[in-house]
Amino acid sequence: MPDLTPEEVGSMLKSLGLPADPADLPEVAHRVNAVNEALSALDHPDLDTTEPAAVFWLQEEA
Amino acid sequence: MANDDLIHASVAELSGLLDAKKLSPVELTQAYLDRIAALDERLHAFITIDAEGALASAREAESAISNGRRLGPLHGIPMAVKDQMDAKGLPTTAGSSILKDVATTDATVVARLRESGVVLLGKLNLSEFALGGSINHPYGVPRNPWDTDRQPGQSSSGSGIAVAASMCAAAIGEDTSGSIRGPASWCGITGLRPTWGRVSRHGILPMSWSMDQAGPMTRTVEDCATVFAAIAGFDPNDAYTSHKAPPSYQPLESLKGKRIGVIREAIGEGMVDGEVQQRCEEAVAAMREAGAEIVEASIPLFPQGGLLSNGVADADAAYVHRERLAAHAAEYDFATRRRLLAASLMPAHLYQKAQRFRVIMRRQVMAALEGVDVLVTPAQAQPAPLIATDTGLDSKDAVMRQFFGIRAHRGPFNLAAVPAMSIPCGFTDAGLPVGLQLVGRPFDESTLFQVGGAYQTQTDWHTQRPPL
Repeated sequence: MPDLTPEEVGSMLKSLGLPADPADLPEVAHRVNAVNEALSALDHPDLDTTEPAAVFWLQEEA
Repeated sequence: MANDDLIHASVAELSGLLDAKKLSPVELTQAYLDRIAALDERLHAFITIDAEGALASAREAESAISNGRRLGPLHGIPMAVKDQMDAKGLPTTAGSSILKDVATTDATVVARLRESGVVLLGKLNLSEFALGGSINHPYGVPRNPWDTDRQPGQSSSGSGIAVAASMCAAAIGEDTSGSIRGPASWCGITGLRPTWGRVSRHGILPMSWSMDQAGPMTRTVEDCATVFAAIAGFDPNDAYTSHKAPPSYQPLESLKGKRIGVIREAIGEGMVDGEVQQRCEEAVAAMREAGAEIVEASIPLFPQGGLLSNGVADADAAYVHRERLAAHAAEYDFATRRRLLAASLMPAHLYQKAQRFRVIMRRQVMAALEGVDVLVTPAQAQPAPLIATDTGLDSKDAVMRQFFGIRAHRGPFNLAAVPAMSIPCGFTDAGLPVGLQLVGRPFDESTLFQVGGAYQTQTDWHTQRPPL
């Protein structure tokens, strides 16, 4: 994914009704770009056959 | 026992004295209130101190105990809770200047403490909204009792400080991505993140619904087990609480027959500070001497634990905060605000990807637990750093360095919903505490208590006190 600029990040925040103080935007952009790049780079052979889940303990409870 | 000894005693020791009527709950509560008065201006552990309520509870406990109606091991024991949890009659701030409402009911965890006869001293400081990473603290900068220029760990900072500095007998913290284990490690105390679903989330301000979990922060493993038994269990107000009964503490005389897996990806250059690794290796050696068999274990995804844990938790928190953030942006700490704004922009497909990786992480954690009783890693990758005055996030690489690598050690286990506990295992040359993380199978807190308890019978790291 290409890096977003602070200006692009500001526009996206405004579209969500969120504040976009110019002083915040460079750091917000760094944070967004870091997470996007790191998550995009992750891969695993089982990824597409693995269903997402958030709750596991019911398996032990059963 | 003199007041100075009393405040440093374990819950078990205090409970024995209360049982034998050699100690008054009122006297004990006053000793902690005096300690808080002497230290809190320096350490900023507390947001709310309820001296009047605590002394009233202590007098009730004294009357009950003197009439032979002691409720159990926590009756008359002064504790405090992270100010993320509602306690009827007291404000819940979550460490933010935005929230000030007085709670009209107790969080379930607080109600269970009260039912056990605990004397509630007050509410403890935390990083804003329990996110960790906030720079400005409206209730005072929490300071590490071992070196007040350094961080106590986040987000259950006040809980870590108060227990380490003997400002209460025990505390409750909350751990989403490491917020109990982190402060426990840096403050030199014992802290348990229970199996997700063990402790009710009702009445606790949420961050990430599928990872938030309250737990005990104490001076000993035995105390940790005692407090855990009081707060764990099914709650009709939290649909995801388990019906399994919490275990009772069954101490071991040795570790003979126990297999301990050292996770190879958690150590080595780039993953952990050299002194931290050395202290953890010494702790593992002590466990071997106590009879344990030490084997190597592997979690290939371990280094991604910080990225995946923060990725999921921050996006969940962005949802929780969406309306408040829009209405009160300027009242948030700037670091918290920037973190939430960034998480608000996480693409849906990457959130989905992180949740799929969470399942793969869980499989790898469960595979690593096969054939061993517990896994061990350093609880924190580094000793407590200096208190920050800025985020220092001036580039994408800086974000990756600060948030992904050093968070790796705790993230895999909150993602996998398994229990994990930090116990003190030594000090750096500069006198800063180091914590060893013990990780168990789901709902097997009992083995963590046994292994951690046996280690504490062989060592005295948990009895060291900060130079205050």
